[in-house]
Amino acid sequence: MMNSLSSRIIITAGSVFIGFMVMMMFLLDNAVRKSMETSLQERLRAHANMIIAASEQGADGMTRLTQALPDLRFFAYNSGLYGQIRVNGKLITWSSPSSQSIHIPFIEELSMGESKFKTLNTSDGIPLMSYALGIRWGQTELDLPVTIEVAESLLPLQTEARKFRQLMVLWFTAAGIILLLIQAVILKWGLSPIRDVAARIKEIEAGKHTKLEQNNPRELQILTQTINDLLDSEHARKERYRNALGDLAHSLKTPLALLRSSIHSQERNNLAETVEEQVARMTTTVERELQNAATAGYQSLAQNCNVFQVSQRITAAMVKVSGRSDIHVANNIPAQLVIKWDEHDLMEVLGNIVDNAFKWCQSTVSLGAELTDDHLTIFIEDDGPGADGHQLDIIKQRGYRLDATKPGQGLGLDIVDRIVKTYQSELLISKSEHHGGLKVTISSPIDQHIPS
Amino acid sequence: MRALLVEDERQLCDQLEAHLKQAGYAVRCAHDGQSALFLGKEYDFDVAIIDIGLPHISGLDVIRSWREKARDYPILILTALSSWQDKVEGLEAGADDYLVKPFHHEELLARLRALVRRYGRWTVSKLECGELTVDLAEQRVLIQDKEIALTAYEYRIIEYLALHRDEVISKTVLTEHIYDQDFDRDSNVIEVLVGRVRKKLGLKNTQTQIETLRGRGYRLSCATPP
Repeated sequence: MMNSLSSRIIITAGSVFIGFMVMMMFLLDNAVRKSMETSLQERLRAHANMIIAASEQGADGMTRLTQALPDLRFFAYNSGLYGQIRVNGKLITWSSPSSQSIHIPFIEELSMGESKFKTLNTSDGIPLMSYALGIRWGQTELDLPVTIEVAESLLPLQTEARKFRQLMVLWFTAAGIILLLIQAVILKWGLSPIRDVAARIKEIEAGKHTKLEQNNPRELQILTQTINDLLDSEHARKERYRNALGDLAHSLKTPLALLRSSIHSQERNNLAETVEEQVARMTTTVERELQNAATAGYQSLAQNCNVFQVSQRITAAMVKVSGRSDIHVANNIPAQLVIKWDEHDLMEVLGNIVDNAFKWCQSTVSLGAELTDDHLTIFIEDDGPGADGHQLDIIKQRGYRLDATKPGQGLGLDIVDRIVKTYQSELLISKSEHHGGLKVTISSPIDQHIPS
Repeated sequence: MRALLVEDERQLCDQLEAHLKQAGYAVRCAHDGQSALFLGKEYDFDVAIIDIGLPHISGLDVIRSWREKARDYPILILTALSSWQDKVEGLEAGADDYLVKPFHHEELLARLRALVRRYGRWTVSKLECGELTVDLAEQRVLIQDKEIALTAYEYRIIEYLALHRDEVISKTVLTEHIYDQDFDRDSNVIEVLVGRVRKKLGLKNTQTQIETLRGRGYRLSCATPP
């Protein structure tokens, strides 16, 4: 399920949203409850002040209620609003008629100016919030401490809070469902280009189309462009394989026919010579077509290839194969230089060039690289005999060999030239100014082959 | 010279074996990775020729395994894989040279000679030891520039001693490196052969000598430094 992009978004966004809603409900419920309690406390304070205003201290020092209270609930039995006046700690001089036969564990005596809120339960188990205020009249000689006590039932507040909570859950749930539905619709709309691309890819697989459409949202255009490049490259590779196979089959037919006719020919004196000649011809053909098919060529998705590391591997291999300890190899290619070439292709190019340099050099082979504003050049030089003007012109041609006494088939630079061209790059051959031998340069445009 | 030839294509292997024997090598053949691994680890060779695409264990793994077991004889890879990536991987695995099929037998022999020379720390194809000259490329032996006619086995003895000049070579080692595996090692043929070589070379009163070290073997000692 988590493999689906829309499932991931719905599950994560939905979880965050539900978590947020639950937290909001909790905070809102707490805030409303707190507000109700504050309001109740204010009311209790007002009731206490009302009782003080309606009371008087007699000559005996007792405080008594002398006037009627405006809130009639004090006089209605079990109304939920109760009050009493306590003198000198224990003596109750007034108790509201509403609290008759109900035991309320009011707060004990408080000193003057002291006040306290408390949550308590009546003997019937009804929750109350009580408020007590300690006063002294200071009017008579027998000035006894007085505690005004009021209490109000919490049941109406709790009922109201419960109703609010139920309503809040209802509204929040409804709002949540609507918002989740809107989110799903947005998601479906937002992800539809991706589904379109996936459907188009399936159609490409089915052979109905060859490319992806480019009228996609901006965020997808790089992806579709890259996939299109990949499709082009794959198409080109298939074409190359097909052509290479066709060319190979075609090229082998003639030498095979020659071999067959030689076997059945009356003149069999030259058979060995003919076989040798045709085997060499077939080897060259196979080598060339195999290389054609194996060349990856430019691909926009090619990984970066470290030129220094590849060149080091090649030179180390050549030092080993040549067995010549007198050859000095100077690799001046920067260690961090990377190029967007296929590693196999780069190795084939550098391998053939370095192989030639080792064959021809007297004692020095050097490798280097230069980065200009628009090109990267990689060059390999040697201190061998080099080549003159005319030779430089034809040296890249297939089968051409500067010296037939050296081992080889004359294919190396032709292979290198063809690989280099697939990367829109150039192979240049000149005289080495530093060493006097041959200088082979690969010049590659930066915009395509140097990663930014 | 004792060569290990590892090639899964029987016909090619037989042809190569015949050519190598003709060129003076004592050849041991293996047709798959496992037996190549065993032979290469258990026996000492002067050179090994190995294909990469072998049954059971690839040639590259075989080479790595040999090198891990400190088998340091030169190895030539003989394969149809011709890309530089394959070549570099083969050489990095521990091989010393690489030859792509199809090839000329002469080229293979030249490469083997070069490898054996390098392995013996000789960089020239002619080994000189006082008035004695051994031409590895042409398989000729000369005393004061005069060619001496030797049989194939006699030549192999003097070639091996010249490649390991001033070293004591036991009779067993000499036998192993000039004969195939089925040779009867208890026979005194080596003694007879060395005696014949001495006689043919006529090195009686010169500073170049094939010395017999009782109980230890033979040594070609030269008057001139290598």
